[in-house]
Amino acid sequence: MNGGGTDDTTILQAVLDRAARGVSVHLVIDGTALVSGLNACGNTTIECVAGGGLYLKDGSNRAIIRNAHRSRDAITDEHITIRGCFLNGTRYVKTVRPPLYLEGMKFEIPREPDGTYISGLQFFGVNDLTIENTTLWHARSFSIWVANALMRAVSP
Amino acid sequence: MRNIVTDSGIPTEEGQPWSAGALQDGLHFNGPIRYLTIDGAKIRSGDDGFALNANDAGTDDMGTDNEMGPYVSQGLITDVAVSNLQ
Repeated sequence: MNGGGTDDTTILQAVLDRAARGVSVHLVIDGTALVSGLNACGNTTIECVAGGGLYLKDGSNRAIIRNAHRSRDAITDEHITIRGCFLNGTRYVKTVRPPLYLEGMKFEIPREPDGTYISGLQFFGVNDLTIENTTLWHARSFSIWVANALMRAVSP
Repeated sequence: MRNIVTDSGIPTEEGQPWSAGALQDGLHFNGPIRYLTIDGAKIRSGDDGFALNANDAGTDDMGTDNEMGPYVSQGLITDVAVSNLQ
């Protein structure tokens, strides 16, 4: 990993993608990394040590970390842990797509291209999610957003 | 969840000071959810600090209107234990 302001998304995502092949992944981050967003499959632990964490790259219109197979009606990932990380959504420096507005209301809704609110951590359709000893800083909207976390069998 | 800190910062956007913190919840949950445990969270947010939403966004069916995107619907939230929330 390069650190120091270089975008480390590709190398970190390559490690996380090993979980898509059925391998349990434990990614340890011991420094500060700039990312444009990471996807976590099931059986993944992302652990930060020695003050490590992730900064969301300016212009990234998505969560810092989200589960890889988001779903509103099925459980698609399970056993995901985020531990010890400082996660900075860099809201105050971000350049984003033109704002959208709720009808009749004047505040900006920071959305991903598909309409999902841009949040810090985002887990939709996950069994056994653990988030501990973690700080969310200046997310675009919700710091931590969890939906559809009903314990049931994992869909293929 | 255990020992979580969220900080949305202090809204500073010019021109809309009354609404600048909108949607900056700390912990936001949309049903269905079961077995949610939170022990230890410090939250500074521009909007709801801790939000449990069986439904949301003032709509009748989030599963069809996609008000919060295509991955969020609604449902019961049960078996919740929360302690040490600040």
